[in-house]
Amino acid sequence: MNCDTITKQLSLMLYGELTFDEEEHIHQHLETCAPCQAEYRKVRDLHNSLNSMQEEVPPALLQDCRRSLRIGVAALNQPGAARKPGLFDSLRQWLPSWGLDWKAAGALGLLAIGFLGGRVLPSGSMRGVGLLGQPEPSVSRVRYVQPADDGRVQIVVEEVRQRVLSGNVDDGRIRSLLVAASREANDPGVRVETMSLLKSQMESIEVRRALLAALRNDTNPGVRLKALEALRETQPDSDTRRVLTEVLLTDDNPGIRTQAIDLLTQRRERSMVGVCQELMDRESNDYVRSKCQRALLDMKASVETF
Amino acid sequence: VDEAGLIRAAQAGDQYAFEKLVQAYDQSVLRLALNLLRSTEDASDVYQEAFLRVYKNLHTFRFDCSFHTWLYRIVTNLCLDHLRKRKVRKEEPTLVQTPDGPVDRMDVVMEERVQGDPQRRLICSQMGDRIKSALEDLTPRERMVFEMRHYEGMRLRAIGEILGTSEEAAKNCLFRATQKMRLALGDFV
Repeated sequence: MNCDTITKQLSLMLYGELTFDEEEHIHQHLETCAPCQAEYRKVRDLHNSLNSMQEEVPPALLQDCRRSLRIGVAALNQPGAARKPGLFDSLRQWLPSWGLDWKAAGALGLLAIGFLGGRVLPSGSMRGVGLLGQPEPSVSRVRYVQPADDGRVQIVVEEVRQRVLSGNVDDGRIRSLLVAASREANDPGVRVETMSLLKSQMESIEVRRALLAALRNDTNPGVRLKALEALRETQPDSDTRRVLTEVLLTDDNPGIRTQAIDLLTQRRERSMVGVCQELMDRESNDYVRSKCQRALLDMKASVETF
Repeated sequence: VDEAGLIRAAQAGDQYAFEKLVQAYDQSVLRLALNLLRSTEDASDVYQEAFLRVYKNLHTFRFDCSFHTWLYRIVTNLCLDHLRKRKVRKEEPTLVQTPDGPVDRMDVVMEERVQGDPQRRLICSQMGDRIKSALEDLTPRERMVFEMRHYEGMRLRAIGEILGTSEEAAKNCLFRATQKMRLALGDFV
């Protein structure tokens, strides 16, 4: 190999992309060639300088991204998120724009139909859409309207009905509904109640996952606290410990961080030393700090990192 | 549960498995996007778009390649799109919003390393500018290969697979990138 070939390969050697033999040839050459040695030092210094430009991901940015992704995924899971073109979309292709917002116009039209329908039409005049003989829906929404062949109007209505279900918490179907409620119920009070009910079902993986998800993601601190209380009931497994660590370092509620550190440090495991030291660097709450400091002293670990 | 198990569970609609899958890779995805695009906003966009694409298309993943390769194909394509658009716009934002106001992330990196030595600080600040400028002068593909090899520590064979090219082509790309960097920073090193 000549000097030109050697200098071309120096960088690849530093990246570990050469074979053993190729590297060996370069080392042999470098031992006897002062200009290539100087070039090697420069390339190595360049690598070191570039290393200083590496950016680590700020934890807050990662958390923000994860939160946005959860919202994005939830939006995808909404019914009709990727809907096919509807009646209004088809109609719009055939209508001139005239500068109108057809969605708004359509919505106003439907509102008018709903209003007039409620005022003008007698209650028994609708048939054929499954409304007769059914209990009144708690929520209904007109999806679209279109004239039928016999001169009447067909209105497609989406309905949400309330049903009362009862059963034991250890019934799989009831438990699944509770798990769903822990994620989806809009009312935080319902979610708190759900956490309390699920507490007795900790042997179920589905339940443990739901509690961990609530502890990590729920926007309401009361719900997170309830989830944490439920998780106290069992020996924390590796998933639980991971989520608890994440919560300890990132949850904005000091009460939750206090509970998390109690749970994580009760067995004084050495694996907690690094987490506690990181917490000492970032924790602003005096009480949580004192707990953390005590745990580190109990584990005979340094309170500070150097 | 191993990765294949997580992928199968996520394909079957298990949200928890999908989240675990995301968490196994999202930090390195975000770091790559952040290093490449030097903008938290663009990096967040790439993160969101990449994982939503994974979510929507996971059912099409047939284990023909590793999940890592499949995911990084999506991520690198998105980053390349951003870089190409930016080449057209001729801009490279490095400002990061912080509680203390906007800060140039390049300045922060260099300053943290040379505090207390004004002479070194000046040199490093100049070098930071030079590195920034040299990175901007790389083509999007060179930049991608360089970032994945230098900062993400990926092997050239894997990079070639991700970018749909050969290991040799990735090697040439890396060589050109390092040569350009070497020329741009010649008098600093």
